[in-house]
Amino acid sequence: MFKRNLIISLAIFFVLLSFTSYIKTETRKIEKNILNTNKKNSILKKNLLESQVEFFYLTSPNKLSRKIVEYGDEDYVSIDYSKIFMSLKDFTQFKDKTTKFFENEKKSKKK
Amino acid sequence: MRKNQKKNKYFNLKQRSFFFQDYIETNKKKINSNNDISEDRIYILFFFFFCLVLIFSIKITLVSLQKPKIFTFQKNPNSFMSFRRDIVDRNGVLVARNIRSYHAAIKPSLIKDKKKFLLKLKIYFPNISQSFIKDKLYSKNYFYLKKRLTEKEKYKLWSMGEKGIIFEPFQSRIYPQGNLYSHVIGQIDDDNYGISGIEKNLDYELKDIKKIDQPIALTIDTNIQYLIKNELEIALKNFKADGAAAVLLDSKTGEVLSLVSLPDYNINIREKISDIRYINKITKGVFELGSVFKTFTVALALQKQIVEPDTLLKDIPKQINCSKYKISDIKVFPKNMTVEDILVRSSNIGTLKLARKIGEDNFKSFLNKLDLMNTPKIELDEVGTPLKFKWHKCKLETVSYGHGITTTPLQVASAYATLSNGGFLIQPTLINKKKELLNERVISKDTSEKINNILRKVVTDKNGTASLANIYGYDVGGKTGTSQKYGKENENINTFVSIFPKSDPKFTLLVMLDNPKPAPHIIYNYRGSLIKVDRNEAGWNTVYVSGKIIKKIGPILAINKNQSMHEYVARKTD
Repeated sequence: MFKRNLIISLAIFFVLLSFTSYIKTETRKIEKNILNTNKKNSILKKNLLESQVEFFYLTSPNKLSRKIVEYGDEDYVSIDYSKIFMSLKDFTQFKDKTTKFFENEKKSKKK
Repeated sequence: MRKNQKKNKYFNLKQRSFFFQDYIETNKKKINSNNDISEDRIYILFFFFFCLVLIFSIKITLVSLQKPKIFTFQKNPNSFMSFRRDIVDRNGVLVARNIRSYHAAIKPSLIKDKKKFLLKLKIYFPNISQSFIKDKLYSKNYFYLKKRLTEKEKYKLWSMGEKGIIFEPFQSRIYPQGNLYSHVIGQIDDDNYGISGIEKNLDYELKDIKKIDQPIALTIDTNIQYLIKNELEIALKNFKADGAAAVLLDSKTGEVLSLVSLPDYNINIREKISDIRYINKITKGVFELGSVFKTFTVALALQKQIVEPDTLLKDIPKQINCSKYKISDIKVFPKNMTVEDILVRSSNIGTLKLARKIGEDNFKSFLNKLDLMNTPKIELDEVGTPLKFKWHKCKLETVSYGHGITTTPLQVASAYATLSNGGFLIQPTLINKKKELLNERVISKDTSEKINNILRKVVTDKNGTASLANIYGYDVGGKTGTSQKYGKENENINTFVSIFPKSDPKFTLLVMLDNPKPAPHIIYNYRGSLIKVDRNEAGWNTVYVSGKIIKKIGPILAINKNQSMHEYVARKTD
């Protein structure tokens, strides 16, 4: 009777021992994975933060406008509504005024 | 049966005992107790392993539940935990962030070949004094070679491969937008304490460890800020001004969309600036802003129903003696003018007459309600307090047209926003937060509409002083102000406060130039004619600059301009 119980106890002991060691190993693995993932995560995060700073620096309006002047082939001109004419009459009137203005300018310079 | 009995070790046939029955019972108890012990052992075993399993389970749970940041910060050298929160603009554009930087220190005891080290250092860093390094190197004390290394410098030092070079990590704050936010953001010191601007005012919130991952969002728009700054810089050159400033407010909420003060400085570089020109002119500068105050006088007169916009004021004199002062207008105006005309033409005497009708007490209380007499409230420590004065003889008269009273440009812009948004008081703010709007009304909706109409006429009327701000599609209204700088007769402070679009004003823009000069080289498109002018009033500089700014920022502000466009087209075809 006692032997049988002892055997059962030992069997249960070994089963549980192996189960525990298995759990322990798995725990360790998971822990290592978490650590590694965190490490990778922090490196990625660091890179992301640095890239963001670079991105915002390089895309700041000041930098962009300089780059456009430096490398842009096209000369961007903002649309001036005062130079959009609804009729030919408006256009000729405006041009007349401009011509008169520059003629006066020339005259005043000659004087 | 016998065999069975023999097999049973507890059943002895030879035994003749009086206590036979008792003996068996006793043995049975023994057997039972032995069984109990085995069971107990199994239970203990189970309990023991259960505890072990439980411990590991708890460990796994704890490991997974732990905040990764704290976890990695303690164990991972690559991790970085910022001491201050980021600052972003209203669209999430980064304005300020803490990054890891390094100081380069030297531990002389770890450097074996000091001569070779000095030689290498001379090649890589020719600007560092060799004699200084030599002295320090042979004194054997730990010292700093260079503080705040750049990436390039760090790489150079690292490539020298010297054990004795120690890279001391620390956190530094960088501002990717450079000068753009200098007067708003401010700076921090070496110990991460804010020393100016938002950095100082919101120091506690910026260091809140619980919210360290959440950036603080400003109300400012980086693109608008840049466009306004750019136009002001051009204006500084064109008008040879000592300084310039502008503030753009959301008239309904009080959010500051842009705040620029020139000259400015790069907040990434720490330097002591003592020149007064570098102050934040919008919040700290206290100026006598002149005729922009006339709008307040007219608004109060309309609110008190003393006059209507078309009420005719007859026999307005060319000059009035007030105490020891003689008050007159710059130009000659008609004798009889409507209230509307008084503001459109910017008549000092007309406004003065209105102020006398309003009375000193009413006028004082109105200025107080508009918060023009107190220190402005905004999330900055750099705020100026309007100069106190006594309401002696003639003060009401001079204050009515903006002379003898000082205030910050921010307060004037806020007051204009209040007058134009239907009369609701606004509180200017730099922080993008859900806030309750003040429902306190200073003037009625009707008065507000009347004032907006008059301000629009200042821009559109042939006698108005702000024609250059009549930007197609944006329905601009506003008021100019030209005043002399205190104690300097030949120096002006020119201001233009504009509201747009007039039909439902959403934005208030104040532009100010400090000591501008005439710009005869500029060809103005003045009411369809091209002209050159050698004048120095606000109408020829700040209005011109405001027009340019509105033309540029208008599309970003996305004003629905359909209505005004149809009106304009209709007028043109007529």
